[in-house]
Amino acid sequence: MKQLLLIAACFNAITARAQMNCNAYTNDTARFRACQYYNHAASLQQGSRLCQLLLDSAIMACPTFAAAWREKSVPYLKRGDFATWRKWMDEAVRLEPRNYLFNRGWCMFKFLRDYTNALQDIMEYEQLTGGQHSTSTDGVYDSRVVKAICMRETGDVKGAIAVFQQYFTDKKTPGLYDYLHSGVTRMKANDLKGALQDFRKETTIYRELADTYFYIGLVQEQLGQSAAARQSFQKAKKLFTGEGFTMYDIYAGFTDQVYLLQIEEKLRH
Amino acid sequence: MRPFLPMIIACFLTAATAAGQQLRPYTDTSLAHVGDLPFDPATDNPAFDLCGQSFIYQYYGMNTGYKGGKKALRDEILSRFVYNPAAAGANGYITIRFVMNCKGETDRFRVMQINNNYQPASFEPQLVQQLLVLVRSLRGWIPSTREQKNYNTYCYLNFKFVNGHLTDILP
Repeated sequence: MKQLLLIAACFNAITARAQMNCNAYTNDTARFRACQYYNHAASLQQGSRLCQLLLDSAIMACPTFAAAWREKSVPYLKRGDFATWRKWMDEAVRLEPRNYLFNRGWCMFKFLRDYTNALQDIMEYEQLTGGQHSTSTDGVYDSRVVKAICMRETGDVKGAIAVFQQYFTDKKTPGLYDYLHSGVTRMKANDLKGALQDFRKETTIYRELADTYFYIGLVQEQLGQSAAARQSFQKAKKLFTGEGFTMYDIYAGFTDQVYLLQIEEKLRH
Repeated sequence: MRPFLPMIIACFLTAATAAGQQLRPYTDTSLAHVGDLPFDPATDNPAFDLCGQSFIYQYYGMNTGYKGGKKALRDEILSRFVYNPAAAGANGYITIRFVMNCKGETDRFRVMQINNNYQPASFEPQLVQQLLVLVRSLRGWIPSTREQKNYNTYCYLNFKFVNGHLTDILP
């Protein structure tokens, strides 16, 4: 399975923890010291005792150093202790909501499929920033796309479509899966032609994505185009099993992600 | 940078005497890594084989899996899960963390429960027990492999509940 691009991106997300420029705090001794502790922690294995102790030191040096609270929370999120994650992350959000509200919302969206709370965070972020947008830390999702998916999953499909429409008008370069998510949203609204258009656009952005062809097959099936649907499912399987790519994330799956079993079930009938 | 150990010790001493309701971030220093699951003789299998390896990796970055993929895992769990009306008040998440060894066997199960506000919760014991028995009985795990060697990994399954109905299984 060719997943080189995604594996490279995910690996980079794990290992490359950005160091801060502590020279920005030369007028604030406490922050400067905290920044130094933070950078030292960032050079160590995430979640190790030493790393966590250094982040504690950063917090001791400057209790309002939000980056340290946030970084301290991350291994708990990745390892399934969501209560502790939320405790530390909430402190980062309290201290610097502009910097961490969307991040918290995206984490709930990604790791817990908590669409309700994620949407709340995104909307609060938009209100706080006068409608600004943000990007997930892995670079895959614009906050508007996350918002639209959350709206869809919490029952507001029409609202989700409207968000997608405005997003594609405003955004010159859509993200990796944006049209796929929009297409799935249109399917849920029974706009099959619109869904097919979106999936076709997705194929121009991510040509060999197996998931897209599965959804194209589903739409063709619903439109009564059985032969075309079967071809699409066959293409999806070929791409899935070695010739292409699939939605893949090392931490948690994606909403709208397709699995091989789903494709094979379609081909069995 | 100056050696940080004296600073850390000083910080902890200072913190130990600090009063007030301020959120205390202090790391649990008994664990070498966040989320470590040391052997507990009360609940764990003493014969659980860690393949002579002292380190247990995290699932992410390692290619642990389940036969048939995630969908097969979800389908197996969903087909065996039975809704219990007594657990109708369960709204939140039950997370079961465990260790998978180099042979794909599992042990050291630990359960965490949170409500929709991410606060610790305590759902109907029968619900938790059902999930624990179910997860313990899963046999399709594929251990992580690198350069033809298998490794132990920490894993978790997160079960999302709405009014006692199992609505999602993550990751």
